[in-house]
Amino acid sequence: MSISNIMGTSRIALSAYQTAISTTSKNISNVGNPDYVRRRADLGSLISPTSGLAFGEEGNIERLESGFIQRQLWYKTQFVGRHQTDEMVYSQIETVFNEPTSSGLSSMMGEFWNSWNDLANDPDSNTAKAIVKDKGVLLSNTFNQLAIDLQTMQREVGDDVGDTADKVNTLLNEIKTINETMGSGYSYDMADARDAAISKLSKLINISVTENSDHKVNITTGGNTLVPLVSGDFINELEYHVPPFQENYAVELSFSEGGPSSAISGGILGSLLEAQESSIPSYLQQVDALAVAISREVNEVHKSGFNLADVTGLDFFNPDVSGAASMGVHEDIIDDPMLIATSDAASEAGNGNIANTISDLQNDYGINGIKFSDYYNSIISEVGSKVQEASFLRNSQEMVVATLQNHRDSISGVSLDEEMSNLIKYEQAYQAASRMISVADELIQTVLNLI
Amino acid sequence: MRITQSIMSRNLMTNLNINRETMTELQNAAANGKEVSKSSDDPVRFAKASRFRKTLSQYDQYSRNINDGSGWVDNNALVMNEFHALIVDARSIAIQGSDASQSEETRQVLSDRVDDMIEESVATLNSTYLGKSIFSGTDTQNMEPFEYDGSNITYTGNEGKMNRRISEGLDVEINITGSDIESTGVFTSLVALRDALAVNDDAGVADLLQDLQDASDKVLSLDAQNGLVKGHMQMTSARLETSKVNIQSFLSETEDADLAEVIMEYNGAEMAYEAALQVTSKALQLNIMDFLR
Amino acid sequence: MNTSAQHSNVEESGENREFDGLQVIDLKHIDLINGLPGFEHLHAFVLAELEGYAPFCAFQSVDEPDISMLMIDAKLLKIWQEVDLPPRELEILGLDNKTDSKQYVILKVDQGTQEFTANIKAPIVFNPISGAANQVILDNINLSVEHPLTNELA
Repeated sequence: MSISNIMGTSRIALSAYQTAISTTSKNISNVGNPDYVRRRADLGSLISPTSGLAFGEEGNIERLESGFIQRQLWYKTQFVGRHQTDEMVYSQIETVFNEPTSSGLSSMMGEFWNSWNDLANDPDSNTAKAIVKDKGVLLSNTFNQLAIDLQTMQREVGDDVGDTADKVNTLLNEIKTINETMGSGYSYDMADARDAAISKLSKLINISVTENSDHKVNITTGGNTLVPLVSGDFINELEYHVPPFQENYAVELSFSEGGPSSAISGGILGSLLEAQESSIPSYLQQVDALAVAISREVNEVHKSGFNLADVTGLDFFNPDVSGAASMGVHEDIIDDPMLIATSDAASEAGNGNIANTISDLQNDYGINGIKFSDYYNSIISEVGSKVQEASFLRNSQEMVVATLQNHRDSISGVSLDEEMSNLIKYEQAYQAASRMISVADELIQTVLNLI
Repeated sequence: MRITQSIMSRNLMTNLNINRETMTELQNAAANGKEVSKSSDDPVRFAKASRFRKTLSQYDQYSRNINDGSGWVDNNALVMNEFHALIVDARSIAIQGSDASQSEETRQVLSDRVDDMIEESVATLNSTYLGKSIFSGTDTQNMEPFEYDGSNITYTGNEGKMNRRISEGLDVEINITGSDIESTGVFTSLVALRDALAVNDDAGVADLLQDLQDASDKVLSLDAQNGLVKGHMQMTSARLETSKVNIQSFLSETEDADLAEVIMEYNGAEMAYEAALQVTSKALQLNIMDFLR
Repeated sequence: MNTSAQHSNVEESGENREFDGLQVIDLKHIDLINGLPGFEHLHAFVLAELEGYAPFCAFQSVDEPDISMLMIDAKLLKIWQEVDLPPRELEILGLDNKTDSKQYVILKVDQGTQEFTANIKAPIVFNPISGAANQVILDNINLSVEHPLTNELA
């Protein structure tokens, strides 16, 4: 080996270790970045006498991606997003119903039925009638408020659908742009950025990710029907349409390049879509049915009864209401509670049979073959179960995802201990190589001095 | 497996979160004193508790009905007592009037007294309670269901019964109607007594002694029935109260956490959380860089 | 804390019996001949003494384990010495006198003071040999359904 060989080798070594050190330094500075994939300097190829001086990243520095594990992680993250949002949505619905407080519907119904029984004990009492009217108004107001609160929640969820769709589009565009950049040259940093975007996306909707040999990434959504979102430089964005205000308010979602919105079944967006399209409307419909049934049953009995003035055929509640939002005590009764009927025969001031029958409606099978209170209790039960279920699933999916993240980090994550010991190793090697160069330099000087 | 900083901190954070969730649950339990404070805590037990809460509300209503009914029934007893006393007096008069040794003048005086007693009876029977006529059936705003025109007593009320619901599907009748009283024969007997005395018919008066006794017995029997209703309501009330307290005890056990236990568990959990926090911070500090200083 | 699966269940597994995670020391089977007021369809109950929980006992329905209450032995209450049981009630249960019987009172938590109260007006009286029991409603109007437990335990 000649002196110039020594020089040459040492110079290559120097730059190789320099690259190694800068790679290590980059890893260390990214230790807190969960989307970063660690780099490893491939010293073998860096120092190979046949490789020449290649300073570019690709070929001499590896990006230790976890491949299949990362894609699994992206696939599984949707469940966390989905169940977290489900839990939040159902908890909010549970709060709207506000049971078992004294202002909840359960309590209001109980007080309403009881007020009729008190009236039956004192059928010619103006006070008792005023109380029945008041309890009727309170009951109606509670139904009204429930309907308003659920509808408001539906609108808010709809707003979130729009916001989330916007976020999805931003991420899709980022990924597409990076795809296009990769065409002119694969960049590790760009790959990290793309991975970060895909990670964020994976919580928002259900996706599958594949990578082509040209380093471009394909992202699809959907289950039975696959809908492409990004493919090379093709992009399929989400479009949404906010309908004019109406009782059943669901933001309509579509794809700019086609595909059924039902393809979005997971992630935060999947949960929001189901909430606004089926869960919240279902509870609204049940509350509506209850309000309609109570109004109808009470009216039917009340109309057959006589009041103190021997007038019969009067409604207590507004007749023919369509739902909880429009339930209310009839304005004639509100103006004059004396009109309330208590008797099942004319000219019997002490007859409270009609009032008693109305009070008894609470024990009748007044809706769908079951009692009003049982029907309502089953709504509350269902909501409670959904919260419990979502919480449980969220918990277990979070553990699955955490395990996958650990596996991914095991391959792609940065270990400070490892990097620091590499740093020491490389620093020493660098010093050794530069020592070599000064030795070689001394040798040359010696030779030159000899000349 | 290769261990990185992120893996270490993730594992420790998971433990911390589990502890934190437990603590929040226990904090809520201690604050509300309730184990099952909303449906999602335990939907099945919550639903059961809801049904019993409704039962409790109904039982409260039954208690109110019993209280109200008891007031009526007690008042009935008072008035019936007064009325019965008048009938007893009338019978004494009859005994006196049936004595052949009495003079026509005496019988005339006795007849006038019976006439007065009939008026008093009618006034008594027209009693009101809480502004309602008590023996008028359901025609409670008829303030004079019994009328005495000097000759006969007429009843203008109806036969309607007033009920109080004292438990599910169980009503009791709390009123005695004028028809019930009429059918004891007491009016007929009193009028006949007045007339027999007026025409100095001592034999006639003697005949009426049995009728008066029968009428008196029948009035007592109405009073006894009234008393039975009272007894029924009292027994039901005692059982209702016991049922209510049993249900409250069950709800208590479901909803009110045993505070001592909760606090003990909470303290345990808090200590575990604190310990985990310390372990986390120490573990994250440990890395090779410390040794290289 | 407790999940629905664990709560209020007297679980018997081999020699280990548990109620709410607490060890059961003693288990008695009780048959309420007239059912439990408020829960008239329930007759079969168990009375469980719990380790470290004395003097509180668990009173739980066999058919519906969700229905459970806390009780204590009435004899532990100072006021109980003055209480007489109607002979008729003892007869129904096949008992000759009060000393042959066991009496327990049901507890609840007062919403306001958050303290335990006992229903001393209607104790559960039972025949320890046959297990026959009844909730006896006492006539004494001075006995409260919500007798505070503080200062009461001798």
